[in-house]
Amino acid sequence: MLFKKQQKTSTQGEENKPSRPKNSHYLTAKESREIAKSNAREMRKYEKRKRVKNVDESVYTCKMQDENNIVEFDDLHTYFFTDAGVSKAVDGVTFSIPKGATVGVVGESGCGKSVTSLSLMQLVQAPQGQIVGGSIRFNMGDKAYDITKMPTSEMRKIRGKNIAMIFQEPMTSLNPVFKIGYQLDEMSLLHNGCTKEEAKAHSIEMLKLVGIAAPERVYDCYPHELSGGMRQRVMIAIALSCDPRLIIADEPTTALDVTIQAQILDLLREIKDKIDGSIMLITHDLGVIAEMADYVVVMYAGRVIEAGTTAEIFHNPLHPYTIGLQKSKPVVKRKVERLYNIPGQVPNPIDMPDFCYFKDRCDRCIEKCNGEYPHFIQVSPTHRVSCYLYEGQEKGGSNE
Amino acid sequence: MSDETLNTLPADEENAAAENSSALPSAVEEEETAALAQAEEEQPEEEAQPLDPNALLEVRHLKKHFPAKKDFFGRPVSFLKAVDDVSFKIEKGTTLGIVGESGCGKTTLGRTILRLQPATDGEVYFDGVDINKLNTKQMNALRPQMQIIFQDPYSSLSPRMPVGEIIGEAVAQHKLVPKTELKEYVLEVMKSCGLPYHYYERYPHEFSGGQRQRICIATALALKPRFVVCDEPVSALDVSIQAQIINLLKDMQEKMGLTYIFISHDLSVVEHISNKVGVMYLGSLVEYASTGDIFDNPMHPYTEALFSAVPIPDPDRHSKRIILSGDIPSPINAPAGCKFHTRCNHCMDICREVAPKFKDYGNGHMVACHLYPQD
Repeated sequence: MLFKKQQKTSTQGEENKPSRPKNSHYLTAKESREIAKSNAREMRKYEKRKRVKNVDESVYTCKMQDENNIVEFDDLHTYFFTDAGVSKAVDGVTFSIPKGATVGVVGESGCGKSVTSLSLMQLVQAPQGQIVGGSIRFNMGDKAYDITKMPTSEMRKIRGKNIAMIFQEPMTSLNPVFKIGYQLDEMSLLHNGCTKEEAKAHSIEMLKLVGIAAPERVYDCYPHELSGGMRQRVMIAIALSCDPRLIIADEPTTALDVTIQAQILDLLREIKDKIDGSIMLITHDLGVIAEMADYVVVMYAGRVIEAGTTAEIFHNPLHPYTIGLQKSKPVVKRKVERLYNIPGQVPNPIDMPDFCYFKDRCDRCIEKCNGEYPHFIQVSPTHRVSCYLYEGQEKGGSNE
Repeated sequence: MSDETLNTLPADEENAAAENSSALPSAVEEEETAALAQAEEEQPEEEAQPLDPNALLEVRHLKKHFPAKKDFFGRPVSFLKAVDDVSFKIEKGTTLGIVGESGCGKTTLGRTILRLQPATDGEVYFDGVDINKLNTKQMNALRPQMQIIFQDPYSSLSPRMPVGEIIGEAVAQHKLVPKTELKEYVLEVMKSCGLPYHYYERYPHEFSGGQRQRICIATALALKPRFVVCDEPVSALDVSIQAQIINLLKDMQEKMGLTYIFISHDLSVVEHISNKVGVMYLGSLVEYASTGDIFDNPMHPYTEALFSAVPIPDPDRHSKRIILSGDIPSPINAPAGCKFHTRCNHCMDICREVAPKFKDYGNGHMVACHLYPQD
């Protein structure tokens, strides 16, 4: 029942989204009803699965493919059941994050990079957003969990403790009615079960770690008393307070100024060495990626189109989209007369074509591009690309 | 009219005013042109320094202070100095980039130049006329020549008006073309901005960010302006869309001979589009030079730090980064002396006491810093 109510309140978004390609810009009432019905059915199914209590651990325990990885995304599908149809925000994403490495995920807005990370945290906007397929294997050290199969109650024990997240907007992600100290203490009180005094001492230590000059003062501040850079430092302190194995940084510097961005990036790099964890860095800024990441994953329209080490992606980009993205960004002290622009726009996630998603914007199309979506081609042991142009250049084993 | 008031378009405030005064268009126009001519004649006598004939816009000692605190009687006791003594000039057909951190007064500068807000002090000469001395009628006549493109294409378009009406509104208001030719004219403008004709009757919510920004640009350019303030026009857009909009702006500049002020915090974009760059810090210009000069040889320590902080998309090229400690101070109680001294790595005793002069150090490279000879 709940779902139906929510749909009614959010129907104003319906006409915003062009859904059918058949020249019709709007949905008929009948179509709309059908979509609502099937959505409610689907969402109920997935929600039920998540709400189960007392699940045996063996249900969601799995085995890592490579013990050196901290996270393995395997053919992940996360869909949103919207009023205009099913939006495939993440449509078959496969990549892994090695221990102690920084993996950068780049792509334009709406390409599914944030949804991928939210799936890992089980924080996708529910009930509309659901993980419908694939698996996310998370390495706990002695065992591994499949996060897609975990019930919410179990996930709460991992979320924040083993996987922490730094959100994009430090202005909105801190609670304005609680003091910084309270929000920091919450972490250690909840996950480490220590006393209030211990929690406070730990929190102040964390504030010191992120380079805040007067930790005792900031501990007693409300978020609005701090500047953007300071708030982001507090966010990082909260993320770090339980010694996570993986930090997801979702556009950590986008809302900040360049000089503050430099401070925060420096801090992230320092901290990564200190805690010996991995970072999944989501950003659309290629400059930030080049500076921070060891591996790069390029996403487009819900899929990974190219992945490799940072050097490979920047010196030898293969996919036309990656090349276009790099050429379209002006670089300081690299003069170009005219910026390259990728024509057109990202296809509508509700009506994805069955050929390569980039075909309509690509200037190097070949005949084969009209066929089904290209598979990954392993160009080097670490570099893979999903484009027909590189067929026959395969080296090493094929990817799953 | 109710739509009008809802509209958040730039030209709106003045449009509403213009409507009141447009009862007798021909007579009013004559009056305006006469007044303009008169003002033009008067200018040279008042100013000791002659105006640069090549400059389309010249800003002298512009100040914009907002009252920050008021006493019991409502009199302001302290001021937020958003723009504090800024002077520069822009030649015809060139682009001036203004860079700086958020809160340094870039946007206020742009708005004050256009007189969207009255200036506290100082002069803005547009084509030889001090626009701060014009009355409402004269200003309205000048409005079409000075336009602005706003940062956020999501909030700067009226959600209740179709695209054609948005673009045509100001054109009709200023009577640039006869009513019968309005639609044709709007379609032509849309075409030149890369908007297909069938968008004419659509509403802004049906478009993506890049398309909306094109609509904003079309709205500004439909008035055939000579001078456009671009207030972070690409900050809200994706990289690939950014390139499209930057190219469009450059094309239009070539085609129409436009003069831009390009306000942005993205240095790489500013370097690409500008001929001259001004760096702002806490309401003042700290450095002003041609793009080549300032990027090759940044003189002010703030400029140096700012430029070194830009991440370069090349994994092998790790530039030596100068990291500024702390945040930008509050503009209400700006530090005494050089405003930057609280964060400067080269701070000397004199910096804390005396504000440095904004001086030319050859080739039009202006810097305000005590590291360089002051006399």
